[in-house]
Amino acid sequence: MKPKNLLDHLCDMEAQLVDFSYENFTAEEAERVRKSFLLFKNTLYKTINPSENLEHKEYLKTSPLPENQSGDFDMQTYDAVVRHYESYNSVLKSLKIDAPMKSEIYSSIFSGSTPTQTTNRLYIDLQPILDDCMGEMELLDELLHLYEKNALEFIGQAKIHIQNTDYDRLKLAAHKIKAGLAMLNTNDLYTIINQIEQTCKTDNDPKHLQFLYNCFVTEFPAVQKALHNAYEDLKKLNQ
Amino acid sequence: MKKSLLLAEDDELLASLLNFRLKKGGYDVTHSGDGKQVKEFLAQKMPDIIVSDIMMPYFSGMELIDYVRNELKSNIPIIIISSAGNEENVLNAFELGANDFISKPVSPSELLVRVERELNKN
Repeated sequence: MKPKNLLDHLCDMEAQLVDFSYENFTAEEAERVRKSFLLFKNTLYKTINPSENLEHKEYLKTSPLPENQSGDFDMQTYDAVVRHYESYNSVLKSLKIDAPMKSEIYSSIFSGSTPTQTTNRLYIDLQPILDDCMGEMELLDELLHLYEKNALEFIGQAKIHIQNTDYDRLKLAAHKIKAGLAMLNTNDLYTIINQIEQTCKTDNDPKHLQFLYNCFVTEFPAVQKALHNAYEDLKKLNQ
Repeated sequence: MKKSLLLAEDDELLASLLNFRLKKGGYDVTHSGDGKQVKEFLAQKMPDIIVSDIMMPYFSGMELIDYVRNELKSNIPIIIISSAGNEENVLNAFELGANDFISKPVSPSELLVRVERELNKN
């Protein structure tokens, strides 16, 4: 079984949901997808739980899995994922939305390979900053919380500054967050912030600034997730 | 006896890390991210060395250097923390009397070396 793979993909899906729910959905549609996703997620967690499920066992006896998909995974998990993948996608289809969870993703969960969609999975190396923290995980944790607080503050402040076309304050807000982004090796966000700062110094193009701001807001959850994963990996290594 | 160090930095993220490392390095650190507090602190007690960001609210790093050198008439070492791309500010800081500067993102180990070096000069 590869629960880590499953959970990684779950996180990817969640990030995508957060993203397009803002852009393409009405509130009602977004709510329907969220509920469907939560049902999917909860069932998955229950399935990963080691408690026995006789009904599943009986089903698996009569429905063996294809040889090339067997790998070293848990059959209950496979069964649950397939069923819920189908129900999840049917909800998306009814909303006329392309399913974010392509079949190649769920098959890759079991083969252990990485699907095309996640080959560019964001990876952040927190080891250098942990070295700066002299191996103190508590301090690293504190820094990550401060990073999140700063980023969220920036998102709120920048929105207001863009609305008020107050580019001096926007520049200052971008400048203030820049060092922290560089410190935690969140290079994608750093690049966006740098461009916001530069645009504020030069032409103050409101459309470009709004675009860059949207890029930051879109990218932030993925970076946040990558930081969380990196922190958890380090925690395991240091246990 | 521990050397006293004033860390004037309003970025909590950077300040937390530097505060931790400077204390581990054996310094008696006072940290403030508020320019007004920095000014009040300096009027009461002069530390052995100051590490200050350039861009701070109410009282910038430039104003701090000017205040220490011209009003308080002190020659204590001042190390400026500057963002990349702020070269003009760094030159101005040197003209006003800064002793050294370090670019963001700041390497705590490098800062410790620079602090020690400045203190040894005096």
